[in-house]
Amino acid sequence: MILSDREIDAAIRRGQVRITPPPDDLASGVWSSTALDLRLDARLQVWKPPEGPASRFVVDPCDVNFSATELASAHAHEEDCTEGFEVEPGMFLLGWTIEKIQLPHASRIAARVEGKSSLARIGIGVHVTAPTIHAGFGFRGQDPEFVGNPIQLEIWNVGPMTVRLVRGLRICQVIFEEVSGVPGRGYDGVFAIQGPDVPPLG
Amino acid sequence: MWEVLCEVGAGLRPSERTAAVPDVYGDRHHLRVEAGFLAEVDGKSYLPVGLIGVDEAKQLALVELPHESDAGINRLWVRMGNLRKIEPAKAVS
Repeated sequence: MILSDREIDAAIRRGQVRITPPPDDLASGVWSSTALDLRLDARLQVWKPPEGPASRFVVDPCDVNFSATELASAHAHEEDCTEGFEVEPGMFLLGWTIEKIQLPHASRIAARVEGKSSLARIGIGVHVTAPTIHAGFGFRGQDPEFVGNPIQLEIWNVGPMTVRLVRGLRICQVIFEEVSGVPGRGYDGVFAIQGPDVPPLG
Repeated sequence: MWEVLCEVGAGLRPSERTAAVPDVYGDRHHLRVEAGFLAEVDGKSYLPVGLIGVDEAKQLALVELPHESDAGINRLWVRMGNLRKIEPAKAVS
């Protein structure tokens, strides 16, 4: 069940959802009836096409040891959109929200991040296929000071025009939903299950 | 609540780290988290995970990562010796 604006606000007040910095009050334009807008942070990682003799570079995410960080170190460059960054047609980049989100397992709340229609109409999207923020996101039960994680965004421009992004732009919206039951990862108990056959250590 | 041993490297921005979690097959699963999300104990780094189940006989545990790894993995088998149990902070009245 999707939470209404008032229910999201109540969940924040009860600590079931933690957003840092907290959103403005319900009279603010960041709210809609069932969603909350989040803002774009300054730092971006822009993927660049491979160049040179090895320009045909194939990424293999089937390799479980695949590291996007290592890939980015060679094939992405950092940009800062504090004063604006121009996203040209066909560009693909990673960004982050200013707001950090925390969804404690016990709250039984998950979330979805979606783009903004206003940006979509001019060709800008903010996620590729995985909008879900699972219950437990950004939660460290032993550390009440930890406020959560920002949402990483996959930003793309499929339109024909260059679009300027600036830090603080309302870049996405988050929809909160109730989770039926406490997720398995949120249980404090231990369940016996059969593991794979692997050589013992030593 | 549980944490799993991991190796830590740089993330995509200064506030971020890349955690590499070794599984029982010797593979390392990479995912990025905020630096403060990781714990450091006795010079080792640990990543909060959800414990789904254990095989006591084989000393293996199935854990769920805080979010999808770079290779698309959400759950993986780890050695129980790589887990540490932590107590949630008590509520402050």
